[in-house]
Amino acid sequence: MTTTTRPTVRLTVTAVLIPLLATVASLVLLLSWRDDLPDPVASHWGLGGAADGFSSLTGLAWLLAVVGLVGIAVAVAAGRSGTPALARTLAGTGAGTVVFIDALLLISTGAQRGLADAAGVSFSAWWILSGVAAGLAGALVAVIAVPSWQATPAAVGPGPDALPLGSTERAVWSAVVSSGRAGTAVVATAVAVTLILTVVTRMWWLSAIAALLVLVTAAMLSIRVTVDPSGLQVRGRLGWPRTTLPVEQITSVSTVQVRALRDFGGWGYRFAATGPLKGSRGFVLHSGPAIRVTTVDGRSEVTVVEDAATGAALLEAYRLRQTGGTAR
Amino acid sequence: MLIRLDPSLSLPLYEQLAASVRAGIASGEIEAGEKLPGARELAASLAVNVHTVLRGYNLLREEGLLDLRRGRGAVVTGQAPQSISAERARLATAVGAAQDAARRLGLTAEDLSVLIRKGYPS
Repeated sequence: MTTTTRPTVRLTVTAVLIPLLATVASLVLLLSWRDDLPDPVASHWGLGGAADGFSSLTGLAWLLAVVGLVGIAVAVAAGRSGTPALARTLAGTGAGTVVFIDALLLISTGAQRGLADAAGVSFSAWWILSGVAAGLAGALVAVIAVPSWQATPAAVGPGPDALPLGSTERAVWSAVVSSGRAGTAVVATAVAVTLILTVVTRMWWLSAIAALLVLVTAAMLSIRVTVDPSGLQVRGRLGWPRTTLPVEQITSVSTVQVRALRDFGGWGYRFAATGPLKGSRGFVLHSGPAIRVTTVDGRSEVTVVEDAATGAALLEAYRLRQTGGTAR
Repeated sequence: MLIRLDPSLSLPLYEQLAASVRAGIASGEIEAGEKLPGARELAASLAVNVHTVLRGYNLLREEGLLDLRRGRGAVVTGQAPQSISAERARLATAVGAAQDAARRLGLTAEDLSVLIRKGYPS
């Protein structure tokens, strides 16, 4: 059942549930170990894996509480989101982060149960991996549980003039978009820094992060944008990620000027939480003109591509054809 | 790039496709080194046989405008822009010659237009 107005109470309660439950459960579990744990407990490990920072159990409990409060604050913000997509993103991020931190804290502290001296425990890469897995699971549950609603699409300016198409004519507009210099530089730096860290700290599992970064970037290094009678398709060079917007689901077509950093906070497949394109998402590989499409389910999809005007004009022509209107 | 086909025209579809690509190169819309859509995807989008697209691409390859490589697809060659510019220059020359010939025979620009339109594929 989807309503057309945001179910604020239901949304907020659902979003708050996971951070709240995770925090309470973690606190209960942690405090139940009080008699088993050394005092102080190891709470930080340095390069090489040896414990070098310690904390009292009470200190850890406070940490859990503060993290929980921040997670709940994010959940409350989710309850006030303008679009279902933003609500899901905030709820998932909040829940995932709280669960990750809680899991990591519990696992690293739990490893010290039964020990007299906390310095004996060394860091294991499995702690992080388990924490990440738990965090992802928490985020997934939040995203699925959060209720959705039929959002009204953001106001759109006047559309482009439809490309004049003869009744027997078939036209296809196709363009390739490559990552801009700025976006590529950011990722290259991240990969380089990760690799340097891997070598310096000799935590070889870090190279998995670098490999993941490279893979994700390669998949979106260039995309192909196609407008044809069936609608708009965007495909990454490895075939994924891909977006398909069938013409019968399109409610409006327009062109917008996009500033990647200012409007979407970065490069790649982005989601705008604030700013003039708030609530929109799409492939923003660099700044420039973009085709913006709104759909029947309230989504706003933005695709930055050169000569967006022609692509938009053709898409508008196909949209009008679909709705039975005549091209101007 | 924009590719427009009209099955109602007498010009074969693969030639229209090739003409669309040449027009794109001429206008600068399609640059040297640019990759054209894959034959299968383009054929699906245009609702034509994949062989039609392949025939068009092959024609352009024979003219030295496209490089067809297995796995890489169709890529516009480095000399394609100059090739097309040269072709446009030849057209300009031919038009100039036609104008001279028409003037000698006392034809107006309108008369010449009618002559040109008569022979054009429709």
